[in-house]
Amino acid sequence: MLVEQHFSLSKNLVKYRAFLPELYQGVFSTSMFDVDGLDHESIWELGRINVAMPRRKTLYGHAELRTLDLVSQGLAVKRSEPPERHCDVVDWPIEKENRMSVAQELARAARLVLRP
Amino acid sequence: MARLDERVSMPDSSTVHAVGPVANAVRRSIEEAFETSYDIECQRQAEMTVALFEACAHAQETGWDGYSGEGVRIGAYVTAEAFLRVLPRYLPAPEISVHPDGQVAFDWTADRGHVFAISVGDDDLISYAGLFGGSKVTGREVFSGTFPAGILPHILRIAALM
Repeated sequence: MLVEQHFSLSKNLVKYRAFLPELYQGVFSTSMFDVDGLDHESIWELGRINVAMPRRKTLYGHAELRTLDLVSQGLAVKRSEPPERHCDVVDWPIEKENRMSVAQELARAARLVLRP
Repeated sequence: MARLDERVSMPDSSTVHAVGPVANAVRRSIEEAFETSYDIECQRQAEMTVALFEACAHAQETGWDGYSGEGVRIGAYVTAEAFLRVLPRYLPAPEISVHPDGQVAFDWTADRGHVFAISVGDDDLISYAGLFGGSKVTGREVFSGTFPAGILPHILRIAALM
């Protein structure tokens, strides 16, 4: 997460806005990384190199979700490398209110992990 | 000792005509209360307007979020400002942000399972979604300059938990 408004430290939660998709090449898509099997240090390194540094932004933390959390909302996860382990979460609803609702469900299921 | 004719009611009517030290003191207290209330509302309105401006200023250009987020449109800003003006004063002030599609969002968050969000763009449609523990709601309302009554119960549900 590169935006402070995407999480609440006091409430220990990820906000739904962090999951809202962007319209990229005509498809609503949310950028994520598959961190299965990685330790904490490797996850931070992945985010630092592939997310924060190219954008010259601060990496505040990340949100962890299970693939099941995504699929149960009707979303699909597609590998989209490079960078390594990068995935696009697609199949978002067309209607704005439904995209917000799905994002709220993801935020409810997500675990907030902030930079140590 | 107050006389019977030292009645005090709302400041726009009989209070004006009340006489005596007690009536005057009560009238001053009421007027001060009204002024304080007005000041607090003005301050809240100003704070929300500043928050809206800051959120939009941060999201003016495409890619503002480090990805491909659309810049906020002037029409969305205008609609959002109009919405804030008619937001009932008894509701908590929302968190204001810009979505990746360039729409302005108003969020009320109690906890991860209780949240209500409104999104306004450069048309007269308001999209909303809410999570209330085990239930959820989505919908659209037309915004024509008055507060859409249909979304009020949803905000109140979250406000009760905030």
